[in-house]
Amino acid sequence: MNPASANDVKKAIRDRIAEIAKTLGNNARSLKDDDVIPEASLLDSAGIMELIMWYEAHWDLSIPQQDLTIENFGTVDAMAAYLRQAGK
Amino acid sequence: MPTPLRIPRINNNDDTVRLTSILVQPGDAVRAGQSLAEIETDKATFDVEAENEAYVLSILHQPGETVEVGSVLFWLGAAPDEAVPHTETAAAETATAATGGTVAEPTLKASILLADYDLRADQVPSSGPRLTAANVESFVRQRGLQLVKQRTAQAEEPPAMLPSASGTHMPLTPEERGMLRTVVWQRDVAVPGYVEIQYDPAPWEAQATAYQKREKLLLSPLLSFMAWRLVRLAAENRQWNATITGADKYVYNSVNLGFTVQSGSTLYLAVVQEADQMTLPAFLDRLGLLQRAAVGNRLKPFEMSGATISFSSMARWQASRHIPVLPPNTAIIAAHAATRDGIATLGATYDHRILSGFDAISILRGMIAPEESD
Repeated sequence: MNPASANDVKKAIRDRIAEIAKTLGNNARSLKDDDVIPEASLLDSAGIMELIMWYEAHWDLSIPQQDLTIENFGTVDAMAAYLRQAGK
Repeated sequence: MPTPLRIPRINNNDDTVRLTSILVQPGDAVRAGQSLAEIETDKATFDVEAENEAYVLSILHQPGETVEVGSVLFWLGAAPDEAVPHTETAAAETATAATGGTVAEPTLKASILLADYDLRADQVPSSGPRLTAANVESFVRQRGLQLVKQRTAQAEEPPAMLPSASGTHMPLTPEERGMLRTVVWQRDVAVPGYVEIQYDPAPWEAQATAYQKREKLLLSPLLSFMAWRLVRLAAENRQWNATITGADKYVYNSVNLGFTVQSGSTLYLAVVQEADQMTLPAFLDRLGLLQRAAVGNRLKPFEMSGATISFSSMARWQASRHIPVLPPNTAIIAAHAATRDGIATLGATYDHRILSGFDAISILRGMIAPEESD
């Protein structure tokens, strides 16, 4: 993945987080790429699940349940890295 | 029309019982609940009681006899001079011939159909060891019977009143039909009650946070933990994991946990089948997969059916309490809500035909704090 598309990936993830957070009455504009998403109080568990479902559909991935860890999906950076490892 | 009163099954393993006494004579008027005879097995003595007011028309066995479970003991009628079926044995055994003299136990679907048509299991012949829905449907079709509810509706329900404002008729979506079936079941079948209790959510939150950190989970297991607690309570108290079919209580063999998941405008009830036979990690894993499938609108039909108890939360929308509708054939649905000033409310809608208010409160009290084994 080249740097430009890596930035595109992160932007897409941040935008989606902002959309979901808005439905919960939260403003996610200040979320940084290395902020831990579950600790940022922007998305609840159901919101994070929506984010994962979107992530799978957007990049045509099927994420095994055991891969749903803080390490792989806890930050915007981690989610972009997981995509790289998956060859997307 | 004469109705048979059959020898009841007392123990699953006993196909015969000893008739110890007859307490009435032909021609006697009996009331509902009156003991008509006494029977015994090696383990218990039991009274055979009249189900309705009636007259005793004939008695087919004598004290001291060993009689088969399901065989006719009395013929009862609305008048003392009603004719007893002339071929008593043949008439009495019609509904049980296929099962060799015993009343075939109906499946759940068959039980529901029997209730819908106001039939008893002993009135319908079975084609095998169990009385199936197909057996009941065939019996009903051959006799041109009508649904009791349909008969009632035709007799009593006033003509539908259309709204006075202009509008457009639109067919219901599958999800809307599902919701309609659910709310109509609660309205027409269950006897819903609601109870709630306030609690300090901090112990649950602490346990969930500790587990999430230890297992490096992306998602908090808080709601899953509370749902798991409900599963354990139902597993330890089987009488709560039940519903009513016709005139009987139907105790489920397993605990199937229904868990509500909102996906867009659709509310799903994802069902973890046989949750009581899982370990906690397996339950968390399975529930997680079902939640993901629900959010992605990918639940399969069997993953949305068969719930025996349920759990719902509206905490994500900051609802401080909500009164959920009972999923069909469940006895209770727990209602988790948002915390306010350090206190949360846990409620439950329950079917009063199965659970008393005390039962419902006992369930909630069992859910408001984790146990060491959780």
